[in-house]
Amino acid sequence: MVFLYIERETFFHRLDPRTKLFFLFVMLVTFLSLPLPYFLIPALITLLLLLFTHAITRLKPLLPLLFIILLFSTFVWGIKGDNDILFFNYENLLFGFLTGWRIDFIMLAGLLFLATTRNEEIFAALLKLHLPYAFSFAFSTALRLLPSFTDTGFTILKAQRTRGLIFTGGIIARLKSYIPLITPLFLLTLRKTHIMSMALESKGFGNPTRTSYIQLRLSPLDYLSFFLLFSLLFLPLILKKIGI
Amino acid sequence: MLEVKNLEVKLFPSHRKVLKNLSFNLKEGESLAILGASGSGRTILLYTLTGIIPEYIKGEVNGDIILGGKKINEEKLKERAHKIGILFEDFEAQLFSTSVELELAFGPENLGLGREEISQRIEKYLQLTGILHLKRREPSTLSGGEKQRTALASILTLEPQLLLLDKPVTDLDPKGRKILKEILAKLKKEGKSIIICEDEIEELYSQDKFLLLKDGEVIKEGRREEVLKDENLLLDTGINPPFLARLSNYAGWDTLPENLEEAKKRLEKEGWKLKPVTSPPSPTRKPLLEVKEVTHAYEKGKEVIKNVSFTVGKGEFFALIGENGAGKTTLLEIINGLITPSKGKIFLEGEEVKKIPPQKLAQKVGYLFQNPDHQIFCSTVKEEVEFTLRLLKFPEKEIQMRVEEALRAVKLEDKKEEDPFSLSKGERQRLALASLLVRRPSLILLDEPSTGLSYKELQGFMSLLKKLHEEGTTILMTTHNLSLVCEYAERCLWLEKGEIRLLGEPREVFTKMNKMDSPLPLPPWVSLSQSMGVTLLSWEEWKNSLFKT
Repeated sequence: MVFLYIERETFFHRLDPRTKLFFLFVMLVTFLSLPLPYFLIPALITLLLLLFTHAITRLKPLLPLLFIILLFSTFVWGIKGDNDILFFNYENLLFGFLTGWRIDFIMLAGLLFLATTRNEEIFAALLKLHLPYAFSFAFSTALRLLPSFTDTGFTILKAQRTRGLIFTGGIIARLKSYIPLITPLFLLTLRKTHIMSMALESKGFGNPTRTSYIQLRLSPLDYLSFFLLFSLLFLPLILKKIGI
Repeated sequence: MLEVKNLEVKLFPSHRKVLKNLSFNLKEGESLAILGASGSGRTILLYTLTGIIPEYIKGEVNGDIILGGKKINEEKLKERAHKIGILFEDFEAQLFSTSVELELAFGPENLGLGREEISQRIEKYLQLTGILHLKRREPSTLSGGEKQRTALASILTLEPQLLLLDKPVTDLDPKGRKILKEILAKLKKEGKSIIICEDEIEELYSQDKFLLLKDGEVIKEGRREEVLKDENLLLDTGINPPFLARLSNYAGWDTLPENLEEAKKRLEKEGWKLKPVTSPPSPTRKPLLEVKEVTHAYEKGKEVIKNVSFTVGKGEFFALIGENGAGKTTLLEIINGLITPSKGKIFLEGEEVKKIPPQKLAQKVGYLFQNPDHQIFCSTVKEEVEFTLRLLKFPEKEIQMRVEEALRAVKLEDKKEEDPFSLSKGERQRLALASLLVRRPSLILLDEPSTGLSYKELQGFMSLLKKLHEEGTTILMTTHNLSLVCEYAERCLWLEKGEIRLLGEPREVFTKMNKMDSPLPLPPWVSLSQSMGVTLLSWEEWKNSLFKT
């Protein structure tokens, strides 16, 4: 099972999901905009939180992806074209390398968010932020369904392997061997979704006077976090103002 | 409590009448079993009662559905949520929360209840279904039976008066079935009415009322005696008469015994006895499959298979039994080389499985997965069956010949050009079997072949297997359906928590099981015969063995 959420009792887990959504937003902005060395501040915060909340234990399956992003970014940005000649340039390589890290850190912040927030909390938070009901539910449930989707995929892979399906040959041949996997996966998922929507409806889903079992309340810790995150957003301005 | 009058249902776009002039009623605290072959309209009836038809699945509903004195035909699905609850066959697809607790909260949240009330309901129904200890667990990490209990509890928190269950036992192991039975008895005591539709007749015996459906019409309705004693009518409708009904007719009883204890008392009182029966000695066979000291752990320190060794002879019909989670499927996947065990070796015809290339192994071993839909992907039946042969680049003539042969064997030769997805569940399973038969494997592995099949479909499927077996194919199946073991297996292996508990002929294993503290309840005819000192495996054996002194 590939589940991101980890049940723990840390302060970060206990933060209101709205605060955590704001955290995600601030991290996105700062990772994309802050120059070095200021960039290191949100990076360090994210890393420490990943360690503290044990979210780091969910990092392993993500590592290859992070690595590929870093590599890809470095080389794509690193290429400089001049008079039809392509070459690598130190400055560009460095820029690409840094951009790779920026994207990687956004993903790490996302991991931290999903590892410490239940789908139902995301749902409740999105509702509190006045997002449409159906949209909020679809969003949080899609996250929940991913593991069952991959599980089904693995079973199909096994079933077709016992029928002699192997993945070799050129790109076309390889793509072709995915048809026996994708067709059943698609149909099974369709059927599952069908049953799920019947189950939802028969449990009274869609009632406008719906209540929430999860009670969201902003604690002093949330307000403090808001303040800190807000100041992080204006970090370069603040630093300039006090003349550093 | 519930009254259904002249119910008629047409489904769009075909406008075909799928339920015709259906009437019945049900009192508070009563349970009703709907009997019928696949396609008889059982599930449609359940869907119509909840309002899924016509609101979600479009159709036309005529007649009256009266619940608690109020006609509810016009009420929306949503409005019926707190009156009628439905448990779907696929219980995994109805769980969508990240913890058991929140799963149970979902319904009452929709009803707009306060937090305090929701919390009380959660506690109450976790307790009633016996899953209080799972409150904080993630539903997808639970076992099949636990998932089902979670799904059931998540419906109960809506406190419906009427509970509908669509094939609730097909995916459960014997222990799960026993727990479900206990929960349903508790609910009836609380005054809930229950409608249950299920293929396995023995699991339905204890219900109060029965409704026999055929092609959307009620053939018979009434109490146990009125419906279950008519063996011929049941067989005509595609239903296997339950053991106690057969026994009653044979012994000439007017009323059906309530349970096995009562049947035993009656038999003893009237002087019925059982002659001992012995199985014919099984022939000595050359080994085909050798499993040698296999141990496997997915995670370090958590062994799911512990030092398992056994041999399956050439041409043998072998069954792996045990609870869900005992390691049966893992063992099957190890045998087929899908998993490399942590320790131990597997030999097929003397060759180590690990060293056989996958495409060559596919020709020696055919593996039928529990759900045929995990493998079907082609647009015609014929293409589906050809798949492996085309992969292995067989000559065209050979392909045609083998496909014809395989389709004939599974009786699908008329459906060659049809879309596999238009077939029934039973036919799809046979198609999956055909697509492995074309490879002419020497060993066929089957994972829970009885899941989701009606009695007739299962009979058809098993007789195909029996024929293959008689022609010399070796068959190894996992099952929690012990009546299949009684009827077909020559030897069986009881696996518990990854370890071999017993291995031998079914009669021998069941006899020993009876003396051990086994969590696997045996079929009713086996249990009753054992309480009379003999182990009988089928009704046929009962007829031969029963005599009056």
